[in-house]
Amino acid sequence: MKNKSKTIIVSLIMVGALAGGLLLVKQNQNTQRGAYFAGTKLLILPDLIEKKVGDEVVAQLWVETDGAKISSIDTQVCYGNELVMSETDPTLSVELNKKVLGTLVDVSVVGEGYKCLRLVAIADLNKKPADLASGMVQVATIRFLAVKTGSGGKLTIDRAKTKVGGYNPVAGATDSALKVGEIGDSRYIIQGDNILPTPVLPRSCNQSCGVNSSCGDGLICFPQWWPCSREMPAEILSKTQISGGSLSESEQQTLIQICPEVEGSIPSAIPLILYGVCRNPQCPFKPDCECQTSNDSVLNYKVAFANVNGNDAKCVVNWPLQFIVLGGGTSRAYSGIIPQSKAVVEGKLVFSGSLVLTDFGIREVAVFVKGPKHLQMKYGINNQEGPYNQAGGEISLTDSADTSPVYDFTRYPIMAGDVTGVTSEAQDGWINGVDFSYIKSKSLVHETVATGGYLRGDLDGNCQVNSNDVNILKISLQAKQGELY
Amino acid sequence: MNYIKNMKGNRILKTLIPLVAVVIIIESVLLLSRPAIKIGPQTLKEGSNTPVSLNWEANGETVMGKSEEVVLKMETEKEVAIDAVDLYIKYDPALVTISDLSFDGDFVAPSFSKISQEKGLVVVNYLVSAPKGFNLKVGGGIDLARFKVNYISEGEVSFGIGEGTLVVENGSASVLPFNSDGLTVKVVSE
Repeated sequence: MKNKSKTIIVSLIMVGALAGGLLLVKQNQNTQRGAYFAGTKLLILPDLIEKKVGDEVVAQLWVETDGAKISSIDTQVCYGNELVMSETDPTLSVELNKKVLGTLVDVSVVGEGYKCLRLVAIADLNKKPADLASGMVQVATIRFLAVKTGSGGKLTIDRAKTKVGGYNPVAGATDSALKVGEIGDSRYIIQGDNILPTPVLPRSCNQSCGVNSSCGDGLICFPQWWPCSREMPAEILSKTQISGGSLSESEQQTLIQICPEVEGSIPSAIPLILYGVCRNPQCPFKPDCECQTSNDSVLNYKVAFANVNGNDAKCVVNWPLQFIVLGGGTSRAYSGIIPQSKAVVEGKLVFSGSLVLTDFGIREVAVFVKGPKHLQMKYGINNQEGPYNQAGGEISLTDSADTSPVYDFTRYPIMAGDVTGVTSEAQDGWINGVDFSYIKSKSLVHETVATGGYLRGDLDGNCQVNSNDVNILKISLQAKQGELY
Repeated sequence: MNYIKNMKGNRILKTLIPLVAVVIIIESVLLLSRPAIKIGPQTLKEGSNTPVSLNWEANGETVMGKSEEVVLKMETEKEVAIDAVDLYIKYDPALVTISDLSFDGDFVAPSFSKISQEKGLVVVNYLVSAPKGFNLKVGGGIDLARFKVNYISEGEVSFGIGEGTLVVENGSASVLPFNSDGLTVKVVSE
């Protein structure tokens, strides 16, 4: 009897243990520790970019997953020397798609010669896994400036230095790695001169340097003893950057032929560091970075915003303007400009002012003007009535507000409608479906503000976003597309 | 007698228990080899982030000098409300001329449309004024652009979706991802 009870108890324990084991097996377990839980593709779009020297080159970084949610990216996008971006503050060149990855952790330019933009971004920490983006998503827009011609340039993603993180539904964690599979690079062709760019950051002028990479911003490190207005041959310049390097007799003779002033001052051996200054190789050779004289110019102007009724523009108050002046191969931007005066002229609200173009001594220019929710307009002549479809401009300036002519641009008013960008809320220079959708959504609820207030979607400045603003956007879109195509 | 009965019960138990144990073990092994949650591709959330497809309808081969119709359709695998579509179709103007651009009566009329032979672009901008946007249904695609192509040169002619093309979702004002392969038409001489 005792034996029988024992057998039954042992049997019950065994069955219980097996049932328990079965239950445990049924529960989810991450059996893939250390493995990738899903794959991803990285692309740079468009796959072919054709621009001219002086143009902005815009590339989009895309990530594609098979449904896995993206939580972070750490990648390097490499580019050739036909392109530059600000190395001191590359964040200006990167626009993150905040709907996908909200926080920019690091942006820096790394590498020498063939440079790479390192971009590290993560999703907002308060974002729920279900709200993370998946599928094919644009992560960022990267902007370069084309400074050299070239047909074989590539924007490449460095696979070895790329990590994409995602939400692993099995592990329940957002730090799981996605395997980087296919990578789609982009080609670019930079053609002949359009605008001679001026990659100038005044603070970089005359800074001491030891190697090319220490200059940045398109500046090159030249020896301090080189006083000429012609560039030194590249192979000799590179030799001066070698520790203890010396120049052969024939190289010294070559230099003297190019620049007789250096005779007697060429050092026999070149020290490694602090041997030179950063200078702009694209300007006529001067001891500083600037191409032009340091005199100021003055632009006296009149502008108007399109479709603003002068008698009902209670909210057109201190709309800041951005002016870009271009002349003699040099451009300079002046932002946050508030015109000094405004007046209603024949129902039109006309703004006027006198803008001192600091450190811009060029006297024959083209002027580009942009408003806070407006496209950039190009003005090349006085009383312009439509697009100025020519290179350069015929705006003549002097260095004094009293003698500089007043330029009236009100007959070709600044078009409204660029209220947001595709990947962020910042303007992107286009009027497109995203701008329409934004204004439409605000007009449906009649977004309103008190007199003197500001609404991004209020294109006519009447303090309310309504169907008239939607119509203004349509008018601007039709006009601009008609000009472009 | 009782002793004999007890002996028989014990034998049955001793056979049954290992049998049950073996069955459970086999089941456990089978379950282990089949993960309970699928790892890998997952379906996308409806609405935001729903991808649409831009698909071509055209003959893959044609004869030089012939004029044929090409259609670009927008389709979806999940119902989605559209606020706007900016369409840029790029082509090589040295190989073809394009004419007779027309649109789908079921969709809104475009706010802007143009064939730019000089730039090799067909540009169409659709803006949907209806508060809830245009409801693009599964299996109910629309013709975004329909045009006639006159093939003026032999070889392969490509059409692609150009930079600036956007499909904007109603409500969120966010850009929807889209899939599209280019169209290549082989042109032969008669």
